[in-house]
Amino acid sequence: MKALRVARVLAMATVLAMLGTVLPSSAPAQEKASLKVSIIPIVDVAPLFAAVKEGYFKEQGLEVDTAPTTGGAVGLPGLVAGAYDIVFTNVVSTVQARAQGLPVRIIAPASAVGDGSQGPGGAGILVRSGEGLKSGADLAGKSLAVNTQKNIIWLYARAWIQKAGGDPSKVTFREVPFPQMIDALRGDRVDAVFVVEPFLSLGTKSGTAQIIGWPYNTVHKRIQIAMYAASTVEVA
Amino acid sequence: MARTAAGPAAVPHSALLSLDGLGKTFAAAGAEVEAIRRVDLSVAAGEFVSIVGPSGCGKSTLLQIVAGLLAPSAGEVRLDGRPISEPPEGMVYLFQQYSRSLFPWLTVEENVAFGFRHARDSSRRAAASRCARYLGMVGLADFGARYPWQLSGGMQQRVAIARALAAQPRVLLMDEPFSSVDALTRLELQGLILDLWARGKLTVLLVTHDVEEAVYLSGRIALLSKRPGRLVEVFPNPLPHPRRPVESREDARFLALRHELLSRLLASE
Amino acid sequence: MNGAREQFRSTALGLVFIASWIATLEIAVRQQWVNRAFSPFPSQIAGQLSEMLGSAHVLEPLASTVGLLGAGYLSACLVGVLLGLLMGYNRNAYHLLEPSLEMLRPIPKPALLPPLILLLGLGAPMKIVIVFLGAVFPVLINTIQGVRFADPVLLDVARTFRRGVLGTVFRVILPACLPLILAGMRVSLGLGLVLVVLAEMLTGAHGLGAQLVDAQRAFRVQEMYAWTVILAGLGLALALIFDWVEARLIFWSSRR
Repeated sequence: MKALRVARVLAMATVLAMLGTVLPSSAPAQEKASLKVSIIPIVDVAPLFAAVKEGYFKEQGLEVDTAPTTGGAVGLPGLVAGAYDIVFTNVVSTVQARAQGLPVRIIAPASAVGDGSQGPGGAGILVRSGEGLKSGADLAGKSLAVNTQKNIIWLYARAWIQKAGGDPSKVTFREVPFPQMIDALRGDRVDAVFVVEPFLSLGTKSGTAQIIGWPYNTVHKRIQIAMYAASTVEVA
Repeated sequence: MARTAAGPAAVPHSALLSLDGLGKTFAAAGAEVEAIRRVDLSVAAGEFVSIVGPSGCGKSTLLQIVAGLLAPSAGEVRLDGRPISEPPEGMVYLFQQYSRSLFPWLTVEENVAFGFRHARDSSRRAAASRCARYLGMVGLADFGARYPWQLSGGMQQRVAIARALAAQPRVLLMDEPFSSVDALTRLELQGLILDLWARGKLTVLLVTHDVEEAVYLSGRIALLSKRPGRLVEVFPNPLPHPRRPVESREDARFLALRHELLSRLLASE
Repeated sequence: MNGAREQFRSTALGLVFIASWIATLEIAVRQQWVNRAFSPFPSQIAGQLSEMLGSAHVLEPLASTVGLLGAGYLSACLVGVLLGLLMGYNRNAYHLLEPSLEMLRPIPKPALLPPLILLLGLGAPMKIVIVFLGAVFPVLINTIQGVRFADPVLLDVARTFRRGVLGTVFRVILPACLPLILAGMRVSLGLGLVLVVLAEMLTGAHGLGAQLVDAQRAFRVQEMYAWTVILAGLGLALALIFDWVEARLIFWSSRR
């Protein structure tokens, strides 16, 4: 019950934040009737879909059209090129984009890591069960899947390996979209994956894969992982 | 001027090459084209025989059958009594398109070496000296390192001749070898062939449309009818050896034979 | 004397044109007529390039890409020529193999990346195989055509001098078809480079394609363009090397 209320509040907040900054406030700028939103098909965007389902956007006269990408690092260039109006992205990619002068701004928060009091969270390092890989140090010479290079997943994976006494430069990072990570792990294409929900649970359900680490929890708690970003050159 | 009427002239018993009842029919665009019909001819060792006939009479086809490059529809060719089904040992065919018959990626010397190279026992030096000898015979001793496309048409034909001779064949088949060189070069090459033949050991069968060339070079001349080519008559050549390019051509016997052949050719058109 | 001057003029014209549009681009970015954040900024790209080339940061990815390309391409050329000679010369071999090959050939090779990733993983073997599959067909088809249309006079020369099958195929047919075969190999080289870079971009980790995507992911835009320039340079270098080899192999072909 409480979770449902929290979800609803989150959804509403997301919508309002988006609308507040994207829609025209004054000025004779164009009215946007449909929004193209780039998302990653993971649990973090559930509030967005909930908001769409509940009709919050429709009430404001908006239609939301979602398009999946592998991550913010891919969505942000699309935003800049005008293919998307809003991008669900991670903080690391967003910061890098701003640092290089790309015209993006954050319009709403999406997901965050808490203080760990409610469990390790929804993102973990998975390996194939029974293969003997137990910590970041064991990954030397092996491959680890991240959804895109140079984003928060990549950064935290490296930090986690380092914290475990391993050397990130000895690990090969491969880009694999979140939905394909469990398959890639089972198919021996990679030796470890840093995956998020809902795929984390799907992967551990059958027992062929096991979790050996929670990077968000062990490296740095209380961080805003992801947010929604729009272009500064956009409408409004 | 002994000449028999119809049919092949009497031939010495040691026939090296014999053509027995050769016939060839091509299937072309649904219809059947008979190129040659029942050609019988015997060639003795050491002879120089020419085949002449109107264009399209099948003389090139006949020569290719003799060479083993084409299978006859009827009859057979025998070299030394053995039937031919593919190019036999001891016989070399010289192409009309000599320029295309030389390998452009090989030097002149390498082209000549192609004539005999596949014999495993020839060492490099032996091969080189053999090439040099035959190139010298055709007057191209200094051109071994050149490429065929750097030479004139006449020189290319000499290379082809050198290559053919380097294989040391007993029979040389020549298909209109001098038709695409200029008149002067033609005279030179004719003289060359006569010289090479006169050294002995070579039997030559030459196909040509040039009656004068046939009379100048050969000992017997076979006349083919127009298509389908049939052997009309074989003319012995009374012109004596050695033959000289200018004087022989003014000889009465030359002119008489030439007259006879030309008349017969033009009549058959 | 005149020939050299003509040559200089024609090359100079092209170079001047290139210089002029690079200059225009530089000005456009400096003046902010185009967005500085993601447009190519020639002076900055040049700076990146000198840094990358100076520090030998380029060597490892370059070696990786060239190595994979070489392995796939050279094996494709070998297989393409040998199989092409067989299929061109022998009717039975042709009818046996042609339908299967005709099924594979029309597939745009990038479309084979997902199945190949599933079958072979994300590493070097997959990349070598995709390059091989892309490069083998132009060579194969051109070889078959070359054998088919080989000058019959040359073939008859081989017959009249009683060359065996092997001797005819390798000493007469192969050299005769070499111009056509090399034309196929040239196409294959370009195609192979595209495929190896594409595979690297999609599977990351090593090579020029991976470096390019890496720079993009971190939004280091000018570095990304620098890698593009390096890729262009690689393509050009490979083309020039190919020209040089081709000229030496078929020095005779224009003269026939």
